[in-house]
Amino acid sequence: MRGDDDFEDFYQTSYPRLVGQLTVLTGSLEDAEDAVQEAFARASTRWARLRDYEAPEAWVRRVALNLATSGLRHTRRQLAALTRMRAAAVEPAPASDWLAIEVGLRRLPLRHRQVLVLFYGADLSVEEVARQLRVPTGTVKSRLARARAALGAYLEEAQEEPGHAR
Amino acid sequence: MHDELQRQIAELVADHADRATPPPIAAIRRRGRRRRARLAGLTVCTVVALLASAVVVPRLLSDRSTSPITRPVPTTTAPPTTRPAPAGQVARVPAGGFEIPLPTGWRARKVEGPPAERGEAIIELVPRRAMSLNAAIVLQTQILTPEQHPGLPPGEEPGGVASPEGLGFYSLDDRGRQLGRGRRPDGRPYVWRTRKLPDEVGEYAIAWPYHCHKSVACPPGNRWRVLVVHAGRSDDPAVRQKLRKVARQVVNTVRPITNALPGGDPAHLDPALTVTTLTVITTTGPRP
Repeated sequence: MRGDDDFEDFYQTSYPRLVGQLTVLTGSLEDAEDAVQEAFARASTRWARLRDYEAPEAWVRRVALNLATSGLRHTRRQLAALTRMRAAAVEPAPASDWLAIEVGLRRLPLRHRQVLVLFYGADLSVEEVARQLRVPTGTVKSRLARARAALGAYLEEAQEEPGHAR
Repeated sequence: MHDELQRQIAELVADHADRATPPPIAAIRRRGRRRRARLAGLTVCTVVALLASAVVVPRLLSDRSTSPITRPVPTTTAPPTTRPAPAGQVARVPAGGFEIPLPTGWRARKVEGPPAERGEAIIELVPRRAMSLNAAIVLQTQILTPEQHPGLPPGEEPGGVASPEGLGFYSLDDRGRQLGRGRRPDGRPYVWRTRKLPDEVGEYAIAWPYHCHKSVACPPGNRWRVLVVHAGRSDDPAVRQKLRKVARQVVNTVRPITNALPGGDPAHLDPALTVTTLTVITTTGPRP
């Protein structure tokens, strides 16, 4: 079946890429895989329609992003409840530069992480990021600027003080 | 800086992507099919529930409409009849010290306007379906003129009672007629106005004293506090009859909470009692 082959090719090519992007966004490989697998499962039942889209990957990414975002909000509520009962766990110190950026990204608000991951990690244009997140392009630009500034400041501090990112 | 960030984030994404192993495509397809089956099942259940309610609800309503109508009780003599409060919705007014289980088909809303602006806790019950422009039952606490208070034993002179500062007493305007008197199943006495305007339904005042804890500043008007239940106006006799029934139900089912209960929470100061005229007493407030 031609359609099935198409979907399998699409799945094999896009899956790792999307998991990579979502892992950076959620900070958890497991959560990212779960969101991406669910998004592909939904895509599999709609493939007849999705295959004609200009970029089916954008559809899958949007579904995965929504799932991951709602999952993160749920986790955040759980965390808030937990921190009322016990002290927050200590994050491990970064071992290298890219770990420093990972810790820096985790410290950003979700909306800032989203634009950074889509703009730099998925290599989308500002307009594409805006379509993906369903926000105006001006909002994407301002979020990008703030996210860059916050992350840059954090990385500079981390460079000056080894062991800062704890 | 810009390029460096791009490089680092892209490397991070690529690194995570390398570690991701896609599960077999068959597993993904199975997951998709299961989800579709679940959604289909949910849709079927929803449709069945909707159809069932579309059949059952009208039948229940028609059963209710064919049940015998209760004979109206004359308002000037008999005490209100007791009817079980419908389970579920309850409107609470902690400052007024009362909560009321809402009669079926009625809803509660806050009264807007000058009384509410003065901080008075007033709610009104209105029918969910409009019966008439003024079909409403208003509940609020007031400091009743002591001579009319249901807790004042017959023949006793209230003696030496002054009007609460700046407020004046509330009075059931009866133009010299004797008030109707009754007692709720829980023993709380109430009075009602026997004089009626042609289109008016009725007004009740239930003894609803404010209870203070020991060594707590206690408002002097606490003994003469009442919960006033005022059933609105209508020219339509059918509407008046319905209103009267519901008003009696309200009189019997409204429950004391917070400051209206001995040992209840006196933190909710009734706006009807002036804060500026507090006096310190050493015992709980007297019950009428």
